[in-house]
Amino acid sequence: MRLWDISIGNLKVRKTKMLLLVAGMAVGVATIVTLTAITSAMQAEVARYFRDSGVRLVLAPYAEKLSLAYNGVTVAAGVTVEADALEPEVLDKTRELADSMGIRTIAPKFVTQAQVKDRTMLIAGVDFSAEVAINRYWQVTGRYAEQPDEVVLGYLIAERQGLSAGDTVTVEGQPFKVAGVLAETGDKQDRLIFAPLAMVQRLADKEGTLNMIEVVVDRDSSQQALAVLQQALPEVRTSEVKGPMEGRREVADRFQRFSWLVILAVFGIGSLIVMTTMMASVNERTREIGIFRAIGFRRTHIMRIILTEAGLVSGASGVVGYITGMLVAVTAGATVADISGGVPWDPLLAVGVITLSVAAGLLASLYPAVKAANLEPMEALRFF
Amino acid sequence: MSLISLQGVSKIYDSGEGKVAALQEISLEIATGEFVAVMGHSGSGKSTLLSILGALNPPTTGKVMVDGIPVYDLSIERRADFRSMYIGFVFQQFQLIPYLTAMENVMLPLAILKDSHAQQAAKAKEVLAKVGLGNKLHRLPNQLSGGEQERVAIARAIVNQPPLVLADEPTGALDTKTGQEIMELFRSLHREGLTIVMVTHNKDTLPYVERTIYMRDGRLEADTLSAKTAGAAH
Repeated sequence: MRLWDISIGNLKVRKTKMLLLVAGMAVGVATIVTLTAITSAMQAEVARYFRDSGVRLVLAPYAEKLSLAYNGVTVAAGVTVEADALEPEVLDKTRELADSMGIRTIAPKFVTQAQVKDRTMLIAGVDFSAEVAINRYWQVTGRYAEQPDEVVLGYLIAERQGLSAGDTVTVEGQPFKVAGVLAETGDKQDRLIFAPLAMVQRLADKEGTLNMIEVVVDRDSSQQALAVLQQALPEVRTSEVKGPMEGRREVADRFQRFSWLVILAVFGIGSLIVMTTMMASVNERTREIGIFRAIGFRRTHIMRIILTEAGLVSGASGVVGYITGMLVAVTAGATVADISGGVPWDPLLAVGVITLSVAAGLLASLYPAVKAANLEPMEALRFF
Repeated sequence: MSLISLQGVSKIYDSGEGKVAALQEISLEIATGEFVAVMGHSGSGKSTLLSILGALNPPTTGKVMVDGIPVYDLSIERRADFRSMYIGFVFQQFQLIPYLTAMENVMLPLAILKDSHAQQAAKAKEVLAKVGLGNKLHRLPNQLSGGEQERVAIARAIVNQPPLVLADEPTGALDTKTGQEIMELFRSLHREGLTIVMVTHNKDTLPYVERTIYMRDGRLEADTLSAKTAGAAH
């Protein structure tokens, strides 16, 4: 017979109450687990994206006025003013620095205005293989342009012009085949026409001219690369590009802050439930505690009995809550939070949440335990 | 040699309608190995006296010594240790823990000691056999008769081998025959050297004791030895 035998015996005799307490706490723990697991999976997905895709830097000429721009490059100011151009050696210098700075991809661009039917639009001359590597989130209906007379349309251009893959579009009086249409990205790419770089330069009569270079560098070396490029190319404005996943990261961060609020609320409510139940248990067992004290149990022994019960109940709640919460997160995570990689079972979360559950249970039971320990044996027994 | 010594012990309760003296200036000596009955009407102070002897109820004034230890000079936790080592309680209405078996109830006072489970079990079996319940070790209290529950309560009181057993109305909830069996059990424990102080209303228990203390209105009214004990003393 040890003190914990008494605790277990009491839990068995108050089975229904204790099971209800476990169920109540488990719901709280499951809520915490579901929120935490989904938030972590979202953040991991965003981090994985940034790790895999690297950081995008854009090299562009300094511009005095900005009115019609793509990625900060002035394409037109006022009505029709030509875009500034990069010096030809900028691309060469960037290529020279590529290896030492962890540059993965270099995507030169020439963006200009073009007449499409009766409207002026932006057309970007790009290297499609580099562009696809940079814009990993791109999804194309059809395919990317492979021939000089092929273009890829941004989502809104295609929608407004009623064009789709296989159609023909006339740009600056020349017919181009629509090789593919990009899925909606939610940014300025939706309003662009993409064509092979040399073709666009020829259309504008500016062979060899670039007005923007995008590079992708490893996330770890991005700040160093930015500094080196700024130093090596002082005549060029070098800055970091925020991609569409930035929005996703912001959502994940907000979701995490919201989760913390919910966790605090659940923690508070759960603690109150435990405290109320344990107080009721102590009140029901006044006489029993009196017997323990009369036969020589110290106050600390009484506290250990009560706290062991609380620890067992909250530990069981932690385990049940973790399993339930993870099942909900795994089942609903993909649907609710649009997580593509799934929600992984995290043993660290299990350890954390069970520890939190036990800590909350013990903390909430401290007052009932102290109250029980301070019962005067004479008052508790009331038998003399 | 005195095991218990009370000097000028008083206990005053504040009842809300004024102060009530439950005990007044009690001085008393009880020797090691004595079997003492405390008798008196309800409200005479006998239960208060027992609780003070049991280190459960500090007196308002006076000194209580058990085995030379000034019980109420001890801290609350040390007093709990004292109860564990020196006193076995047999409560009115048995007061067994309903979710523990007979053996577990008897092992209860050992739960706070350093004995191994095997040692605890051996001690519990031994005392349960002594009180005649060697074959009902694993019964829950509600599976035992009143007399059997009383025997479990006695086994729990003596499993620690305390020098002093305090019993509160041990036959109060039993029929005459079972009451006599319980008193026989107390007598055999007393013959083994145990000091027993018993509060009782039941005059049928008096032939089993050596000494009877009569109380009235919180004072000692009489303190008599049984004829046999008195004869032996002379």
